[in-house]
Order: sequence, then structure tokens, then C-alpha cells
Amino acid sequence: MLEVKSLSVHFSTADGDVKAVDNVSFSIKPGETLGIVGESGSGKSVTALSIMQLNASPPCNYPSGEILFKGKDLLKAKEKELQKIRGNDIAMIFQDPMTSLNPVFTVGSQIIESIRKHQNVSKKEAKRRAIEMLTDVGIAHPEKRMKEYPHQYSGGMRQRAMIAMALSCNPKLLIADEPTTALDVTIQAQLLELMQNLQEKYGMAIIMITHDLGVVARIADRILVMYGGTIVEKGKTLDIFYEPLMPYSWSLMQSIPNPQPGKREKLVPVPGQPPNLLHLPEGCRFQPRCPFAREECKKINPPLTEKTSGHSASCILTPEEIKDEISKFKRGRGVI
Amino acid sequence: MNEVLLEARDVKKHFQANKGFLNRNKSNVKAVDGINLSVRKGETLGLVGESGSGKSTLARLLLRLIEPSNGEILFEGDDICKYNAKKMKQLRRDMQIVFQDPFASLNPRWTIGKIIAEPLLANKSDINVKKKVQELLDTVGLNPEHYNRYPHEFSGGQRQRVGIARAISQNPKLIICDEAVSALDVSIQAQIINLFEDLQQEFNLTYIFIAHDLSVVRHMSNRVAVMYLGKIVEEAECEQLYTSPRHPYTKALLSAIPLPDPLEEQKRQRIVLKGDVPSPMDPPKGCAFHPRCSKADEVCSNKTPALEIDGLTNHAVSCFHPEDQNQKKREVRI
Amino acid sequence: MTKKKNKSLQKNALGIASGIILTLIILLAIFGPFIMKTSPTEVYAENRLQPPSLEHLFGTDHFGRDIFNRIIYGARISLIVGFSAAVITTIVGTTLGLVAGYFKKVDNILMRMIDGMMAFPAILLAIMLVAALGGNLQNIVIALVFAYIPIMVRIVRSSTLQLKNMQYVEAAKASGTSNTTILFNHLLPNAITPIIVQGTFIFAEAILAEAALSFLGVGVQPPIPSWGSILGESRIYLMNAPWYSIFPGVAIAITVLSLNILGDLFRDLLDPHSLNSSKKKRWSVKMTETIGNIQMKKSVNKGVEK
Repeated sequence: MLEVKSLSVHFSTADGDVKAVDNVSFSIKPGETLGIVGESGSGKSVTALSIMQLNASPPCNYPSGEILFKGKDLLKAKEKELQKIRGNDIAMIFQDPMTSLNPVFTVGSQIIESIRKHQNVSKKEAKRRAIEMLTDVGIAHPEKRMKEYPHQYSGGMRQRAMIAMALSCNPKLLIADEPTTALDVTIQAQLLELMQNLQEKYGMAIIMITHDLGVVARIADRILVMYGGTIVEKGKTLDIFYEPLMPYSWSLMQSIPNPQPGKREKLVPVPGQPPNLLHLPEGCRFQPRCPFAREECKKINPPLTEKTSGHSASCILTPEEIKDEISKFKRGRGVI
Repeated sequence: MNEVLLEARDVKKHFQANKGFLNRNKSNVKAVDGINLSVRKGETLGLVGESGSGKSTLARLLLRLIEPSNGEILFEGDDICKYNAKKMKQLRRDMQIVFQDPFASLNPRWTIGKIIAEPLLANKSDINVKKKVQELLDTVGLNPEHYNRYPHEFSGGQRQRVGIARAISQNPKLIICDEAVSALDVSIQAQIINLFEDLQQEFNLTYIFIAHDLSVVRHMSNRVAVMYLGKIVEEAECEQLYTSPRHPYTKALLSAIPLPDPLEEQKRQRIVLKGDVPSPMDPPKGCAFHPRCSKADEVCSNKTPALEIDGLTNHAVSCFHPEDQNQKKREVRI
Repeated sequence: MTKKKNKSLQKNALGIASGIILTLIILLAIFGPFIMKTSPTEVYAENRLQPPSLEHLFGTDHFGRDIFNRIIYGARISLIVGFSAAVITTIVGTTLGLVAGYFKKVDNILMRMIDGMMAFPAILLAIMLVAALGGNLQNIVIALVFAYIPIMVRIVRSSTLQLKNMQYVEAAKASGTSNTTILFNHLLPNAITPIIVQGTFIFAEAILAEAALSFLGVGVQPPIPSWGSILGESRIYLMNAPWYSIFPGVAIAITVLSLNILGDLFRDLLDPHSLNSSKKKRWSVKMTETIGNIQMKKSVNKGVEK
């Protein structure tokens, strides 16, 4: 449905061009949930904003790539066409719902406005639909709460209202950029469940951008792991979690404390700092921090290649070699 | 291990807040409402709670950065609320804090050397400050030669190390970590957690580790206290709390953590709580948790449960209908 | 990218130009009177209202005095008044603002007083004070300090209110740092940007205000020249001797404009992100770097032209 082909996004700054996204390709099928995982500065949010063409340009520019949505290249589309697609076919929710809702209008009027902008319906019809959407996202007494202003809502409620607004036009694709990061765990659980239920009901595809591996483990079908502006591993959720083919993904999983009982052991942090996008390391981007790095890694920047069916990684090690290294590492720590 | 370092007795902090522009009635926000807590030497006490639970206010109360409205705070048996300014200044050497935001907690116009030396200079210790600063930088894993750089020249994780170096500069006995790793990236977070653990061993530190991330708290702590709307609702040994939580809130909280394990995620039973955390300006009557609780009945909405401790397991819970799986498990073990 | 860089470069170049102009004016004010052969107050009735010529660069006034000469003497008065008013206002205003922002009890009392002072327009307050105290240099400075202090206090206080909630201040308190150290080592350096900027603006404003006071006749008393008094005396001759009014006006305009531009430049230079670990690299170096950049750019441009 959506296909991104070798997309690069650069930002011009006083210190030179920042390659925020470098040669990224992926696609998403209808009804699927794609998780994009990465640390800050890995380019995950910029990728999402590029799909919506919401990056401020300048300083942002797209030296290469195509974003095909229903066969149309969004990078070449005119602003008018984009406006039609935004909100109607592709909707987006952000981390901080307070900044995406206008504080001087009631929540209801904002949802009605957004419906009427995209669909040719009467005000009455739009209002009925808004109430229906608010009920769908689990807001009690929707008629009453529609007349309230964003500051009267709690953080979780605002994010629900944002979801209601995003889904009010039946989009085919919902892009969620860290939608639960600013929220408490219990509220996060509510929202994730809500998103899953709504996906079942409306059948839209979801791109879930997050740094939380737990969140993607819960809802994603497939995962992209991003590092230093590029995709380093791509595959089905189970494959990535249980048979990672890229040392970075594996290291990331080792570095988070496990909340399950009986599994308390010392964490294995990823050494060093995330790469500076202005001065990327030679060869493989992850090589300076990689526990399994070899001499060749400093020279070759391995492209993303399919290692096993439907599972690609950008690492020169073969799946077997990585398995060996991991088990060697575990033996070294006395954990098998 | 058994000696108590810090104890809070019925500590309360009520803030006054205007109810609105035209409404002249002032309401009390009970940010911290009657907390009893003790930390033993060398242990790590985890403090978990959602936003608005009062955990950060409690941290500042324990350090006496803000004055409690009621109650006593005993440090090594002495009530520090009665200390005068001079005595308090001496005491500050023994208790330090590491903040959440590595950007806001360092003065942007000071070099990191000066930042780390601040506690040393404030107490006019007769030591070679520069040498000490370089030692500290080395201890927290930064290049000692970088002492004259400014904070903006460092990444978030490195800044947090600077904050830690400042906290340990006077060999404190207690460090309160207020969401000290929450703002960091996953891979950096683990580095800082390990640093905390290493420092604890090296300097025999006592931590109060405040976080909303239950996985991190579990990893760090010996004992964990769960806060909800200014009160502790459950307190137990870490392992016990995570394996057999007794308060329904703790249970829901634990089940809400997303696990980085897809198969486990599919299997597990989740309790999804209804609604939001009520505002501390207007807390519900009776048990503060009852509007969201599945077990709530009439008693819960009228009476406030006390934090009752089970002498055998040291497992304290404030609930009229606590989970009793704890009991069963113990029977099985015996 | 180049656009953004050019813009900052342009700004810096303008700032440097203003700096050079101001330095020239100050040097002239200091050393000019020693070079001048004639006294600025001596009357030469035969030279009344001469237009600009080689002998009298800016022409002469209705007493035949050389206007160039009088402007240079006047620069002394104007700059001394402006500078003293700016420095005293900045020091006193900053201290009061810091204290008011940091200690809540002082705040309530002090701010009500400041509010009272702010109820009067600054210039009116100054006129009232000068009228009451008498129009000598010292009293004009005092009057101007009173007129501008409320703004300074308000600005510093609001920065302090914001900064005192920063975590590093809390960390300092937790380290046992004294209030004085927190005020002057933590809060002051972080509030310095608005203080310096406001200080330069007050400098400019004070020059204007002194001119206005002298124009109205409550400032420095004749025959001592100040830019304002020259302007004031010239107004009746505006139609038949325009140079008499134009030159002191231009002097005021250039000085005030330069100060304002310089204030803007300080705002950029004082950004904490421009702090650098290598201590040698301070403003002076940055200035030379900027000049170097401009020259480089020029040579590049020339290269393009060729």
C-alpha cells in the first residue's frame, strides 16, 4: 500500500549537511502494524514526517528516493494533493497531544472541523460522526466532553481525542510517533489496547514509532530497527526478538532491564555514544560500539540484505556467525 | 545492613492552590499525605508511582529542599527538620540528589569541573579541588582532561555522569535518584544503571531510586514502595512485590508494563485500568484508588485503608481486599 | 545553509561597524577638545550662522561658535550622562531584580514600589526630578537612573523567577551552596544576556533623554554644550540655518543606532552555546574570526566576479 524506496533526507545546517535519513526502503501492507524502533537521532521520526511531507523545508531536502502511496509519488505531489491525502488517507498522531490540539477551540469543534475539511458532509452529520468517534476511543459522555477545551482533558484523554480526530476520516494508514511516551504505564496500556481494537474495527495499517521495545513487542507485526539514520534490521517481530541478525538489535535487548520475575542479571550496556550524524564512523555505523566487530567492519559499510526469508540485516556476519558470537558471549558471562 | 539511615514519619506536604480565577476558595493539594518510610544503610529503596503520585515531592522533602507541613524526617536518628541552617549545611554532604533532566540540572555557563566542584567549594574542604574533580571524572567514566568543557559539549548520557560525579563528590551516605535514567536512550540508560551499581559497591552508598519505569526499579532495588496519590499503597521486598503483588493497583501497574518479549506478551493476562489518575486537588473519598479498582465495594468508598504490615514477610499493603496469593504461595513453600 | 550563515555574518558585520563608530565617537569625545584650537563657549559675533565650510566643518551657530567643536564637547556630556546612567541602572537594577526574584518577601515590597515608579512615564519622572533637584550633570544622571531602574528590575526579576526553578539551582541548594553564591554565580551569569542588552539600550535611551531634557531647557545649563542643548538652541533657526539642527541630530541618531545594533550583537554573542572550552577563544577571537570570515567571503566573491 505504501512503499518507501531508497529515501534520503538531509538537513542543511551551519556545520554541514546532516544525513538524518540515509537510503531507507520499506513497505507496509493494508491492515498491518509496522514498528520502527530506534534511539533518539536514529531518524525514525524524520522518516515518518517525510511520509506526510511535514518536514520543514528548507532546511530539509530530499536528495533521492520515492514515497509511493497508491502508486503516487508523495515527494513529487503538489501541496494541494498532499493536503487531500493528509488526514484523509494518512493520519498522524504525535507524542505531545497538547501541542497538536489548539487550546482556544473545543475538542469537539476541532474534530468536526477536521471531518468537514476532508469529507463533504453536513455539520450535523459531522457532529454525529465526531460523537461516534469519541465513543469509539472510550471517552465517556462524548456529547458533554465535546464542548470542553483541551486543557480540561487529562494527558491520556487528549491522546484519545487525537486518535479520534485521526481516525474520523477512516484513514488507510495511521502514523503514530511515540504516542505513549509521555504517558503513564497504565494509560499507555489503555491506549495500546485501544489502538489494537480500533485497528480490528477499521482495518487501517499502523506505523508505530517508538524507542520502547516492549511497545513494539506488544503490537507490531513487523519491525524496522533504525540506527544512525538508516535501517539496520528489518523483519517479523518474532524473528527480530528471538533471532536477531544485527548485533545492534541484540545489544539493545541486552541493555534493558527485564521486569519478569527470576531473570535479574547485570545489564550489558551498549558502550559509547550514538553516532554523530555529521561525522559518521568509517565502515559500518555501529562498528565502534559493536561487541562482535571485526577488522573488516571498519572498511565495509554492509548494505541491508535479506539473510533469511523476510528478515534482512546490514551486517557482514552470517546468521550462524552471529548465533555463535551470542552463545560465546553468554558462556563468557556464565549464563546459558 | 539493618541500621536505619533515613526514616520518614507521617510526612505530609500540602500545597495551597487557587481553585480558579474567580473562585476565591483555596484548596489544599495533598501532594504527599502521611508517608512512613525507612531506608537501611547500603540498600536501595525503589519508589514507583505515576505522574502526580507525589514521588518527586517526597524526594525533595526527604532532602529538606522543601519544608514538610507535618511529620519528622530522621537521618541517622536525628530529626533534620529541627536543624538550623549551619547544621543543615553540614548534613548536605551526606545526602545528595541526581536529577532527571541532564540538560536542566547543569548550569550552562559553568564548566563541568566547576559544576562537580560546587559541593566541595560550598563546604570549603581543604583538598586539591582540581585533582579531586579529575578523579571523580575518571570514576564516572569521563575523560579527566575534559574538566574545563561546558555542558553543551556533552551528550545526555555524559551529562548525567557529570551530575552523578557532583553527587558523589563529598562521599555522601545517601543519594536520591529522581528519575535519573528516565530521559536517556535505552542503550545509554544501561550504562548509567551499571554505573550506579558500581558506585554503590565502591562507596557503600544508599539509594532511594525514584522512577516510573518499573523494570528499571526492579533491577536496581532491594525494596520497593508503590505510591498512589501521595500515599504509599504497598511496600515489600523487591522480588516479593513483583512476584506476588497484593494491592490491586500494583498488580495492574505490573501487568501494564510492555515486555520486550512478543510471545510472553501474547500469553499474559493484562488488567487494563479504567480511567485516569484523579487530580490530587480533588482526590476521591475513602481509598484513593477505589474508582479505578475492580474489587472496590462500599467500604472502599467510605473508609481509607491503613498501610498494614505483615510481620512475617515485611510486606505492607493498604487495601481492604488485598490479593491473598501471597499467603497461598507461602503455604506451598512451607 | 549559505543564506543563514550570510545573515549572521551580516549581523556581525553591522555590529562590528557600530562598535568601530562608537569607539571613534568616544575617542573624539576624549581627545577632541585637546586638539581643538578654539573654546566651544567663546562668542564670535562676526561668524554668526555660517554654513558648513572648510574652516567650520559643520558651520557655526547664532553666536558664531563652531558647531563641530560644540558637538565634540557635547559628546562628552552626552556620553558621560548615558554611560553613567546605564552603568548605575544596570548595577543597582540587577541587584534589586535578583534579590526581588529570589526572595519572595522582598519581592512583595520592592515590586509595589517599582510599580509606583512605573506609573509615571520615564521622561516625565526625569523632568520632575531634575526640576526639583536642579539641572546639573549629577542630578540628570540621578534622575535618569530613577527613570530607567523599574524596567531593569522587572527584566532581571522575571529572568530570576524563571531561573531559580532550574534544577541546577536545586542541585546547588542540595550541595549546601549559600544564597549569595547561588544569586551571583548561578543566576546572574544566566541572566546576563538580557541585562547587557537592556544596559546598552538604556545607554542609548539615556542619551536621547538627556537630549530631550536639554532641549526642554531643564538639562545642562548653557553655555555648556550638549547634543540636546545644541538641538534645543537651533530650533528657531531651522529654516534659515538647517545645518545647525541637522548635525547634532545626526550625531545623536548615529550613536543611538550604533548602541542598539551593538545590543543585538551582544544577544547573539552571549548565547551559552557559543561558550567554548578552550579559554583563549573569547570574544576578541570571535570578533577577529568574524572579520576574517567577512574578508574571506569578500575574496571569494571577488573570485566569483573574476
